[in-house]
Amino acid sequence: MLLRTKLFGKNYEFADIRVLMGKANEEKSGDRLAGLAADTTVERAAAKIVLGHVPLITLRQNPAVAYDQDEVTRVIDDGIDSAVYEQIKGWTVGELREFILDDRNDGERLLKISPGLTAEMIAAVTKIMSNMDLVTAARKIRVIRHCVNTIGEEGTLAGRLQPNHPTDSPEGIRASIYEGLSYGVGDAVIGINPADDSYSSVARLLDMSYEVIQAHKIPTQNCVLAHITTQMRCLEKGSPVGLMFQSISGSQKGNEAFGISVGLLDEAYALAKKNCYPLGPNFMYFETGQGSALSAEAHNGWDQLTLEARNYGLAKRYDPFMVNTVVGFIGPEYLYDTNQIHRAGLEDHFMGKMSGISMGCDVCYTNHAKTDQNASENLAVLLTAAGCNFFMGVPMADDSMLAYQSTSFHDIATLRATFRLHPAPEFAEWLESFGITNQSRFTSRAGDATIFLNRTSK
Amino acid sequence: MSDDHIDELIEAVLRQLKAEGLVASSSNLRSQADNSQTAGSHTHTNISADLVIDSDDPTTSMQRIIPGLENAADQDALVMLMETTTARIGVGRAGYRPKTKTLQLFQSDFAISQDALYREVDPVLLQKFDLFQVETMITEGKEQYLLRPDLGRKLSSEAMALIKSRCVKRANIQICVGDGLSATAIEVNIPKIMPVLISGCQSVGLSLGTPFFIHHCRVGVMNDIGDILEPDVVILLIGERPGLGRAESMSAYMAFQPRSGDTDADREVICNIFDNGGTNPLEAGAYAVQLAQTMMKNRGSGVKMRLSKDSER
Amino acid sequence: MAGDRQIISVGIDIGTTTTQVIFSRLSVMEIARPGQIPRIDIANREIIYTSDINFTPLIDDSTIDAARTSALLESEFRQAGIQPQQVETGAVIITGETARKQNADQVLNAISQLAGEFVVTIAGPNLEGMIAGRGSGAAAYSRKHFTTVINLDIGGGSANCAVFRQGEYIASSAMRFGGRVIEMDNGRITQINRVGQMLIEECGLRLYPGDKPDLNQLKAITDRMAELTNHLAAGSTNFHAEKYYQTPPIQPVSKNHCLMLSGGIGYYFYDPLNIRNVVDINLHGDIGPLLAESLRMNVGLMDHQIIRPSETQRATVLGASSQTVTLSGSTIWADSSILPLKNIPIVRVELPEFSADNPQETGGQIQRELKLAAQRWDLQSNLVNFALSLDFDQALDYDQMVLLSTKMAEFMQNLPATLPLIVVTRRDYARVIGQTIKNLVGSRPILIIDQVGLSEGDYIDIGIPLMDGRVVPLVVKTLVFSH
Repeated sequence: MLLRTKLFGKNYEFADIRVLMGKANEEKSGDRLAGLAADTTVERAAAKIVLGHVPLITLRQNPAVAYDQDEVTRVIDDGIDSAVYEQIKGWTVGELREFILDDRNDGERLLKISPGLTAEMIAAVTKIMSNMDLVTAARKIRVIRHCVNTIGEEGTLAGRLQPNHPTDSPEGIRASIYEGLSYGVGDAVIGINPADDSYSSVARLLDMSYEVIQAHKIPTQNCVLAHITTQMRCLEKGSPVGLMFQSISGSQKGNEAFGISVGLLDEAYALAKKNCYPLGPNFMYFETGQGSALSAEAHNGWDQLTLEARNYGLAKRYDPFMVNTVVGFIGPEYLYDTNQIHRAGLEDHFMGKMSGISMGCDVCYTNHAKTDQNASENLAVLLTAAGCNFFMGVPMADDSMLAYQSTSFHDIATLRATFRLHPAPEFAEWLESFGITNQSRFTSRAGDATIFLNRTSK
Repeated sequence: MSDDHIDELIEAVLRQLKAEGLVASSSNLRSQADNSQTAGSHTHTNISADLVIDSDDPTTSMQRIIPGLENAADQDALVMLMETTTARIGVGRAGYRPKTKTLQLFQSDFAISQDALYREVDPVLLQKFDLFQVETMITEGKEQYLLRPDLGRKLSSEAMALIKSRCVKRANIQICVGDGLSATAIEVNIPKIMPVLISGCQSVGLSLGTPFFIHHCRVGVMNDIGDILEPDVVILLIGERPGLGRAESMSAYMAFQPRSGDTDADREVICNIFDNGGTNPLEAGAYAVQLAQTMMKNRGSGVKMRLSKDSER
Repeated sequence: MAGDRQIISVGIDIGTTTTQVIFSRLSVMEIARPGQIPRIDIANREIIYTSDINFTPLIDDSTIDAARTSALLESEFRQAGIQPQQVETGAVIITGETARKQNADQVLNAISQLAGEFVVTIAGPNLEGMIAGRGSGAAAYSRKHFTTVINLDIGGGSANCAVFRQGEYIASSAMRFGGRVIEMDNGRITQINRVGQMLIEECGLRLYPGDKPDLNQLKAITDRMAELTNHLAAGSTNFHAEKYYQTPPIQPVSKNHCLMLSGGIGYYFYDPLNIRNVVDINLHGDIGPLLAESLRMNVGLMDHQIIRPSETQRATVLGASSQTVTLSGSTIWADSSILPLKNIPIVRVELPEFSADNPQETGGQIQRELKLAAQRWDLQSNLVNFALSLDFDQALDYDQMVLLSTKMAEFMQNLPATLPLIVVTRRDYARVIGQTIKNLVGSRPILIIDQVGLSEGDYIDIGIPLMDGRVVPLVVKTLVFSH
């Protein structure tokens, strides 16, 4: 295999697909930490040129981890629709980019070729797309899923209500749930990250959040983002679980570090389909993020973008209601600054959509990354323009348990108002009937958590 | 349009906003400018010359618990909702956006965490506690420290030599201090926790190694210390990643006979050490002594040790 | 690390009219908080046996039959399948008018074999109100609904009021009246107690045992009690109400609160009898159901938002069984050789502001305050255990903590050698103060516990340490039953 180009009169040669994929990435501190980044900016440009010429068949033949060594590779490869693949395998990555951007090809058309693509192909084309390419391509694709309500419809933007509390106080969490609901947030899910992963703690939070949903007849689903085995135990013992959650990784080894496997996820999915209370048919929720495989030393020498694309290839198997990248959570050693976080957010969102996934984003950062809240607001605007299915709603964007900053209840309300978007249709109807909105505009009740304190006497 | 007309319009809008509860009916910012206006000087004289702004500190705990929303359906209950959580709720809104005070408090909290990250620990403090300083393999400052956690986990060769020459070997307890991600956390908590650790160890008859300070320090450096000095227990006091508005939070990582290759699963940690809200540093110190005694008794530490003990049962 | 620890707790409520027993199982658990010091808490309170509501056996109208009461309780233990030695904690409450009766001691003696080592005896109107409000679910409701709840527990002989804000007990008060101030049988008055007599007179009526009153006459009396109830809930008083108060009134509660009624009267408040004539009301041989009816019709009470509690008739016994025990903070210093301790009076020490620049002055002040506390307690004539409640609300630095500990160690040196040093603080400093004092006083036993707020006049019972000695169970009592 020869992978070479001349650029400004100089030869740039890349040893193999792995090296080429690493060097073709936009600058990321994580790739540099892994020793995969281009040495110079020109070398990066050269790598992109060479990658543009690589045929898709070569990418299928060179997965990040070999087929017989990695179950994530097997899930993705076995899932390929061969009829579609046969038609496109001769395309180069450059041609794929132009097909995606062609204005005659709408979202439906893109979703038709999606089953013929491996994660490495989607990663490769992403590497040679500019930020606005990623926005406009993702904007075409609508992925609509249903659990209790419907996520992803044209003209909608949903919010995950994230009411975390440092010690899992049910009252403290309920207080934040009320606040979020009063801003029209919670249609994607009422999703609590528990501080204590034990069965009794998780079961208690499932009961509490379900009780709130029932008491106010809210058309949404709940989820406690504990380890999937804890949620399975809760579900087996009769707890009300709306969505089943797990963080996933792009390699078998990475998943082992999370204490999961494809077999376990299969089991959880079967259990969810059988025992989760919503109508469905989509019951799963996954979180991902560039750099997580590297931090577990499970990247097999590949770049973080490719590993991230493989997350979506794995997620697809479970037809999830929602998936989001937690884009700035991992820290500056993987995504150093605003530019890198923005780029990764746009990449991940596009790759998720291109994989046919109901994709959202936790637009966030930790305090040691070189960025700030204004930058997060910018990325949220970009992703809304790109048709992102949902964002996180955290009280004033400040998560009091996980100690990082995400997007706020106010941000989701603002993005909806600015882009003339609505919550999930069932939820929007509920907001009207509850008097939080009137003809889609906030009433004076909006933003007042105490409207949920109906202490009725018997 | 005349000035009077404009004033009328503005007043009408303000009246409506107040009725909808979208602007505060009163402000706690009192200025002489206000006074002069209410005194009826409705003219174009320069009133700014008399302006005095003397704003309250919005970061005090008293200020933080004031609801931003002023016309809740049940204002008492709003206060109670806020009491149950440190999440920023009950804040109200200006249209779809946060109110000015809420936004500025957030920005102030962010500012203090940023400043903590890029500061260095005051050398006077190190002198006071007789801590000599060593370096990890970070040579290019904070940016490299943030980008290369692997280098922050290894001591430089000079550091190893210095530690070998200056420190007592094979003590029961080796205390080390590392800046980590917050210089403030170290400056605030070390004066409180160090004497508790020292007197606590002495009173239960545990021998102490020679303490020192590690610049550009990550938790993994405990393995190098264990390799060089071979104490029973290493206690590393290290600044945590600053939270929003909270730069003073410190962790105490503890490991029994740490060696190269050990991970977090081999360690215990007491996080959130700070006054007023976390575990206070004095009590944390006393608990750390108790934990060190447990480690010596069990001859192990961390999840791994607990799991092996559970399987014995 | 230690796993779950199960504790069986009993509640025994011997009231003017009825006697009830409930057994609960409390699970003490280590609650993991990633990276933080694990907290030990009572994670679950499960009722494992509820007795019938038995009439309290009486010898005559003013004397409890101790032997029969004991036999009744023994039979409840048997039916529950619980041996007295299995019971680790709980409370016996002798409530209402019964508590005043001379044979209360006799009753307690008779049932002493049934009560485990850490089963406490409590009485006093404030405590009863608090326990009833916890048992009725008022405390839990106020936490869950982010509000203030006034719980009115009205039984045969007393009306107890307690206020809870977000689960926390705020205040209580009580009046001496209830459903049994006038006893009836088949439409005829059989007995009128002292309070009943007062009420009859205030209504301008003339009623005596043996009379057959008409419904309107009795209604006048229960309406009057409803007005008293109104005062009790509002925290108000007047010339008439004053005579019924056993405690000062509560501070009036802000407007958005809820009201719950529990006790036997609470039961009929929510599930009323259909009362057409005098005979209809004497289901229990008293005018209780009519009092409930008067409360239902009282306009003043309707101003409160009225909520149905999760428990009415059994509120007090349920509270006694499952809600009396709390746990200390999880980093304490306890010499277990001196535990358990019962009925320890609290002596509060008002600590000065710690000044950073003048430790000597602060030290002097601490010394003076400790001395004052000792004088108040009158150490010379009281050679029994007591606990110092240290009151300070500031974060300490190391020198301040050492100063405080040193002064306490000195104070201890002046105590009679038989007395241990017992210190309780609200703020989380017990372990470090314990470590420091221990260093100074050597082998003398000390007990330092934190995260408990106590006032002068409180009493506490302190149990044997649990979970590898990391916490002690506590029962806080505002008033000890007087022997």
